[in-house]
Formats: sequence, structure tokens, C-alpha cells
Amino acid sequence: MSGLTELGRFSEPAVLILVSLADGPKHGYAIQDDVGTVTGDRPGPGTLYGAIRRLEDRGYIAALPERDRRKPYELTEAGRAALQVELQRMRSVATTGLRRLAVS
Amino acid sequence: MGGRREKAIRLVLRLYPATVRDRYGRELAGMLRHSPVPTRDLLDAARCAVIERVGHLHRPDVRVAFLSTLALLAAPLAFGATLLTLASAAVLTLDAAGAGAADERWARSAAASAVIPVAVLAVWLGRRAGRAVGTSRRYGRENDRETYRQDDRVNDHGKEPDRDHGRRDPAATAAAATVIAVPAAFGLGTAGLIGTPLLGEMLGENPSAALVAVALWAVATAAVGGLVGSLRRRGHRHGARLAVAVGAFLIMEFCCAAYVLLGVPAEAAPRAGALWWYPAAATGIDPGLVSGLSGELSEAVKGLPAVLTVCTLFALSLASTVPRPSRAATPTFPVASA
Repeated sequence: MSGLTELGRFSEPAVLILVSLADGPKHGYAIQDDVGTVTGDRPGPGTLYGAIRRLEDRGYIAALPERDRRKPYELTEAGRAALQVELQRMRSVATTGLRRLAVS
Repeated sequence: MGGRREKAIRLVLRLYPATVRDRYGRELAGMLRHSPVPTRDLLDAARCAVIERVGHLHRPDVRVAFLSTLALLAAPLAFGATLLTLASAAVLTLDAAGAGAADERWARSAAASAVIPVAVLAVWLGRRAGRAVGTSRRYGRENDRETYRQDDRVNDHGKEPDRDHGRRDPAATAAAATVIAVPAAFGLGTAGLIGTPLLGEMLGENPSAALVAVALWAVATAAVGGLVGSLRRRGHRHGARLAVAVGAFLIMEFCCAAYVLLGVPAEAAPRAGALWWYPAAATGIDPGLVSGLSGELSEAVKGLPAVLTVCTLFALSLASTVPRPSRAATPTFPVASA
């Protein structure tokens, strides 16, 4: 089980933030828009920064120097590894679920 | 942009713990300011602020502070119970030895002597607590330095670090807590005992006079504690010890006098003997300071001087033991509030 599941109600937004940062650093607005595009549901600022704080505290993401009064975040190696574990877990769950649905 | 939205944003941000607000407040405010769905986003931020606030209460340092406050509030009860037990044991021992039961004066002195071991215990506990405060203070400084290292990593490259000028120095906060919070908590705990039926009767015949005396005690102990702490921080260890001994006596003289002045009429307790009220109450050696009868003073003041003596020694020992801040370890930047 990856460390992301320890984040409780912030675990799903945390995974989405890590996915958003997987192709390069982004600031809060860009993460919010990207997650909105991927899931069709834009996370609220409280949820977004609640998840960002937890990911930063665990060393999964790191803040970069500000640019235009906006603070970008980047994925760390630990964050990349945690995201990989989490996505594989989700794929395993999805595969099993879809296979069972096909059988029934 | 509506002023109402700005007010709502400020209100929501205030719900967050200071540490979270300091780190993300500006970004959160910006996002809320430009939100296409402001109501939904404000509610989301408010809900998450409450979650952060609840999580903050579960932080080990906050939990320790909460439990310490509870312990301080309960301390007068614990001290009082120990004093009562030891005083009863002393009187029973005297009685068993066949010497004291007939002589009330001996019994009163034996009961008063119970304060000695409890006072020694209070000094030991106070010194121990003072060292613990010093340790947590150093720990707090290290945490704050780490926080700022992170902030600097985030904000360097020509950008001013995002620091709030209103932040307090945790060393100063801990010192203030030592000096003010301990007497305040002891005062509240003692006042609670005074207001409790049966228990209150053991702490003086006149509850309102006892409450005023306890309030004055808290203020006086905080003032003397501040002086002791200041001497200690300047390296005057012997001066601090002397201030503890003299200060404790003066505080108790003052509070005992306040209680008798307020609670016992002048015709019963001639004011000329005011300076002897505390020594007589503390030792049980009463030449007849109230109504001309030996033992009447003890009946009037009951256990209050003993409980406050022990509380005073704890509070002042703690103030005299908190290590002075090391200049080398003091950060050169403003530090975050805990």
C-alpha cells in the first residue's frame, strides 16, 4: 500500500496533483485547471492546498522559486515512486473489477 | 470584485492554523479572489480550514500543551490532597505516640509541618518542568529554523521570503507562558477548589476573600516569576535563587494578609499583627493573633496558605530553572509562532 492512502480525504486529490505534475512543474492555478480537465471536476482551493501541504510535508512534491507571484511545484523522486505504486495499485483494482464485470 | 468577497476570504483564511496560513495563505487568497464559483470555493476552503484546525490540535506539541494545562489546573487539588493526607498522618502519628492529642498546639504544628515535604516535592517538580520547558524551547527553535530553510528554498532567487512581521519568538512565548500561564492555571485551579462545596471549606472560611487572595497571588507570582526569569536569563543564578526564596515569602505574606484583611474583621484580627499572620499560619505557632485565641487564625485561613505556598514554590522554581537562551542557538531571523 502506498503512502498516499494515509492522506485520508486528501488521498484522491493528492494522486491527481501528482498526475498533474508528472509532466512538469505547475503552479496552483495550472494544477487546478489540469485536474479539472482530467476528471471533469475542478478541485476547490481548500482541497487543493490541503493536498499540496500534505504532499510537501511528505517530500512527494517541492515548491520552486516564485515566478510572476506564483509558486510552482515539482514532483520529487519520492513522489514519482509513490505515484507509480499508487497507479499500479489502481490499475490492478481496475483490471480485476473490469474482468469480474465481464465474467458476470 | 466585491468587498464582501474580500471580507469572506479574510474570514476563511483566519480559520486556518497560522502555520498553514503563513505557507499557503497568499496562494489560497489569490485563488479564491479569482474563483469562477466563489461560494463553492469559499465553502470548500472553510471546510478544509476546519480539517486543518482539528488536525493541528492532534499535533504532538499542541497535545502536550493541552495536557500540561490540564495538569497545572489540577495541581492545586493534587497538592491539597497530599497536604491533607500528610497532615492527617502527622497528627495521627503524634496521637499514637501519646503526645499530641491533648495538646492542640503540637497537633497544629505537626499538621503545618506537612507542607515541608510537599514544598520540597514542588521545588523538584518545578525545576524538572523548567528543564522540560527549556528542552521544548530548543526543539521549537530547531523546527522553526527548518521551516525557514524550506521558506528560503521556496522564495530565494531575488524574491523576499514571505514572512509575517507579526510572528512571535517562541523563546519569548515560552518564557511568557512560564511566567504567566503557570500562576494563572494554579490560580484558576485553586479558585475552582474554593468554589467547590466541601473542598472550598478547607481553603478558608470566607470564599470571596479567598478568591481575591488567590487572584492577587497569581498576579504577584507572575510578577516575581518575571523577575526571577529575568535574573536567570542574565546569568544571575544565585540572584534568581535568592529572589525565589525572598519572593515566595513576600508573596505569601501579601496574600495571607490580603485574605485576613478582607475576610476577618479588624476587631477580631488586629491589623498590627498582619506581618505575623503568614508565619503563624505556616508554622501552626499562633500566639492568638485572631480573637486573642491560639488556633483561631488556622480556623480562619485553613489550608489556603499551605496550598498557595506549595504552588508558589513550584511556579518560582520553574521560572528559575528555564535555561537562558543560548545566543549561538538563537536564529537571526524572525521565527514562526508555534
